[in-house]
Amino acid sequence: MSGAESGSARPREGILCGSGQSGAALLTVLVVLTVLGIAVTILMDRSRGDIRPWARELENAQALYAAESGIAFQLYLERFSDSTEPAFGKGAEAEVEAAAGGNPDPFLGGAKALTDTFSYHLDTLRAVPEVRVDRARAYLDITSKGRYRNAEATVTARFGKALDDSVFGPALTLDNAEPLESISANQVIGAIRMRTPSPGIPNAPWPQGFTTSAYTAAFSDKRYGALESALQKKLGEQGGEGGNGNFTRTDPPVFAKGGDLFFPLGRVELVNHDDEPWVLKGPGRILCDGEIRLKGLIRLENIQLLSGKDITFEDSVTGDGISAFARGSIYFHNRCNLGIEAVAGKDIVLRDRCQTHLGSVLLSVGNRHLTKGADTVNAIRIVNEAVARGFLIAGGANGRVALATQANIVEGVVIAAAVWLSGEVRGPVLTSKLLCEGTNKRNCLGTGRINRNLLPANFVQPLELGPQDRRLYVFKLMEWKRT
Amino acid sequence: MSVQRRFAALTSAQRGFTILEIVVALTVLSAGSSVLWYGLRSSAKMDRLNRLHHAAVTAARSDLEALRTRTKTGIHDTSYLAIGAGADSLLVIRRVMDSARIVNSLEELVLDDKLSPKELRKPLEVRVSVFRAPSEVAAEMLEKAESTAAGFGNEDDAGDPGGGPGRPLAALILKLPEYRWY
Repeated sequence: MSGAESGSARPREGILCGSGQSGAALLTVLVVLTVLGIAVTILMDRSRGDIRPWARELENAQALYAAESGIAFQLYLERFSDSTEPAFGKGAEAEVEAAAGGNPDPFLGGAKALTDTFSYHLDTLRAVPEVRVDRARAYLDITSKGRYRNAEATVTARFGKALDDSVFGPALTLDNAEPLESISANQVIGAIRMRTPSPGIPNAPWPQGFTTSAYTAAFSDKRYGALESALQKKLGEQGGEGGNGNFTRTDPPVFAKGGDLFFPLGRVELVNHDDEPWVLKGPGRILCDGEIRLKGLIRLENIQLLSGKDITFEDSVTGDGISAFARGSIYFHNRCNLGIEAVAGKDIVLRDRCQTHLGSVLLSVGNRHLTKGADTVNAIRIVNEAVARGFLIAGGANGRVALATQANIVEGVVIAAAVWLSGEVRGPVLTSKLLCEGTNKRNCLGTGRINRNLLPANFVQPLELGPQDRRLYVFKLMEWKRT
Repeated sequence: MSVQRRFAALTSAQRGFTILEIVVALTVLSAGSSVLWYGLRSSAKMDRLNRLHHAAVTAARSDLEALRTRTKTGIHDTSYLAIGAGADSLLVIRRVMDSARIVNSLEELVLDDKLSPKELRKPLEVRVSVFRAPSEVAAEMLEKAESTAAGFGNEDDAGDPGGGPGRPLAALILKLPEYRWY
């Protein structure tokens, strides 16, 4: 019995504490420890992950505010500085230092002391943002880059001038001695201002010394002159590209460090035959002596085009921040949709459901470079269901704006020596002659409509249009982009 | 006998080894539990701190954003308590580089044609600092902040922590143009 008992005890002993069991508890502990370790690591990692966002949030917010502060300060300089091109930051300081003969102390040897400093009074540790101003456009574009610790923010703002209601308040300003033929009650919504009052039409008083042509001449001359001299200067420089420029989506233009690509003797084509859109981002300038043609699904951002002849936009070209200058004409065909400042020596034609964005400027300045011939008229023509927004200015004695059919619409301001309206203008019209079907001798509106009340409340005018005393300006924000 | 002997045989064969294992196991488990407890606690603390910082940044931003609709003359120094995270409030202190501070900081005054210092045309500079204010001392902190804000040109104009108690949870500076943006 005892032998049997002892015999039966041995195997149990072997099971419970044999070599297979030794370290089982240790193994369990290690497993538990590992699980705990993993749990703690996950928790800590999650917490650490939470720390980063708020630190980042603060840095991003301050970087953004630094960028905004740069824009606020630049606007202050634009308004009150004695300089015509005020700037601040490292570039401006280096300039002042150079003017002072390398002596940074303006009191010791400064020929030109730095009077405007950006420095924060409340915290001297904050960095000065980098601010860049684009003065080549009709509106003021300011880009400011702010930094704080590891964060960086860029703000791009576009400013215009508050619309001068003494000039653009009435719906129709008729600057000639002829009376206006009778119009129906709903054709002109808003006040009418004429040099010669017409019977049965209430007339607003004429402002002292105001003429439409003089008001626009300074603006159109300045815009054309600046762009023409930029084109001439660049084409005369060394280092241009030879021949023509033919670019596609797979072979896009590469802008050099200065941002310019110029063809002194050639023409330029940017064509996209694919269904995929081609986005061409600036800042960059393409200049050539010949014509420029853009065709296909192309989106342009912050690109400037300057041509010695014509510029043509065809087939769904879109974009914003575009600037186009042509000594000849500028054409828009087939559903193009652009935010553009276009300056042409001859005509600007917007057709086939093309549209321009609010804030665009179409400026036709007149026959300056072409040989004077029979066709001396320069015109902005809106045809085939096209919609033009912004300012349409046809300068010179023969400048015309024409809305071909009742389907054509202008949302903005029309200024020209002569205006032919078949469609609707949702904004004011300033002209010396109002023409209609069958005559070009008398003031008549035909089927045209003018509704001043439909002009958007935040509509602004270019800075160089009208009086130039910036201290009297009210800068108005047009666009605000954050990156 | 048989049961007792078997148990005795069992315990005698495992004695020492099992106890050592149990001791090690208990030690390691307690250490692990401590680490886990510490991890959980610090995680919760960190989470609370995160929420507090987030609330502080939001409070600072909302104070600055609210200034955009005001005129230059309507923006002044102020301090107030804002809702924080959990039981803690937030003490928001706004300092403005107003005309009094500007004139006080200038060594030389340059006047314009209207005999106003040119420096006053510059964009208004505003700093908002947000501090943690535990509920039991929040009122006292607010009172202290208000009494500090009454003067100008004092030491805390030089920079952070901006006259507030201790280090701010968030501090933001913005130069506001004199006309409204939006």
